[in-house]
Amino acid sequence: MKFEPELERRIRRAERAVAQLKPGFGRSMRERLPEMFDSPIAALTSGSDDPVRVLARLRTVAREIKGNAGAYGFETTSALADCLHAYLDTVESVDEQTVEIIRSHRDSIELSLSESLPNQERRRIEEFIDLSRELVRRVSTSSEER
Amino acid sequence: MPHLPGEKVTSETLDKLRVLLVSDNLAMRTLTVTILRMLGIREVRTDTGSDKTVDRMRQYRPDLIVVDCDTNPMAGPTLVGDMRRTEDGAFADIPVVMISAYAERQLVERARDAGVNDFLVKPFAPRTLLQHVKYTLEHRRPTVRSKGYFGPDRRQKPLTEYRGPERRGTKSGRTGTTDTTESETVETKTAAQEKTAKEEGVAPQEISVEATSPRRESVR
Repeated sequence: MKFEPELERRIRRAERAVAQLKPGFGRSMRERLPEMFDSPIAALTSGSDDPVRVLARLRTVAREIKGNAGAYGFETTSALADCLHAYLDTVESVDEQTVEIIRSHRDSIELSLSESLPNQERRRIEEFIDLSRELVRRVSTSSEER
Repeated sequence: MPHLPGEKVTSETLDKLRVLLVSDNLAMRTLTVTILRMLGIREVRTDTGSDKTVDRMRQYRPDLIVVDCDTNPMAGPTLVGDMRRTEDGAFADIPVVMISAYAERQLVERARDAGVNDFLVKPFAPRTLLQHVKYTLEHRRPTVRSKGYFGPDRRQKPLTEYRGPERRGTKSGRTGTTDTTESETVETKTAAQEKTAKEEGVAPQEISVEATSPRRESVR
């Protein structure tokens, strides 16, 4: 959609401002990841809290990352958070594999927030996103069949 | 109110607009306020969303409210519902855009039933936010009051085939019948509709009120 020239100028100005905010957001998000993930993951591992509640917390975390990271221009991070959210929706019971998959998403999210991501790492993350989507598709199909 | 419903939104409109952003997420507040200000909206206030938010709205009198509801998804619709249902109806017709990372059916339906005008799914770029602000201001829906609802008309199309007891009457002009058992009464009309009425010499209450064309992201 095209706007009047003055509004187009303002949009470009807003896009530049968002680009300036991006590095700061990436740093702050990386710093917040331990607080966002580590305690819920520890609770799932030790069984110290109700898994349903912990998974709900993680879903909120994934939701926040998906929306915020994407809006700040971290599209890959947003896609990873979306994958995690979709995976959490399929979890019926928590075991070691569940925790490991959550941890893998968290690590990939952290990596994707790097200011300069080498191409090799970028490809690895893209492959991980494909794998995660495939996993969700398979789990959803098998739940429907049941 | 610097912008009359139905008028085209221009850069001058944005210069005079007062926007309230409700979000309990610092990163989202920072980003959205930055975008809104860069788009030329000088009067942007933020609120983290609490039981005091509606009271603060009375002092600020925004022209548009943007509600981000990701940390607590159902808090957004609750806030909008409280705002719409104040006794004096002070906020019944203020347009509300809700933003969320996911448009789950349950959330979208609750948002619609609370009186949200438009729904924007994150992530969004400045252009997308402007499109939604513009659309929401330009396509204001008539305000409807019923037993359980007070806010923008939730219907996107007239239900001509409906013949039940809760069919709306002719006060809205939409149905063309004389039912008196209407459950919802259309109370206001857009400026464009009022203008057309005057030009055509028709009393405003006889003008048909058409619903806004739905878009993919709109609350239906």
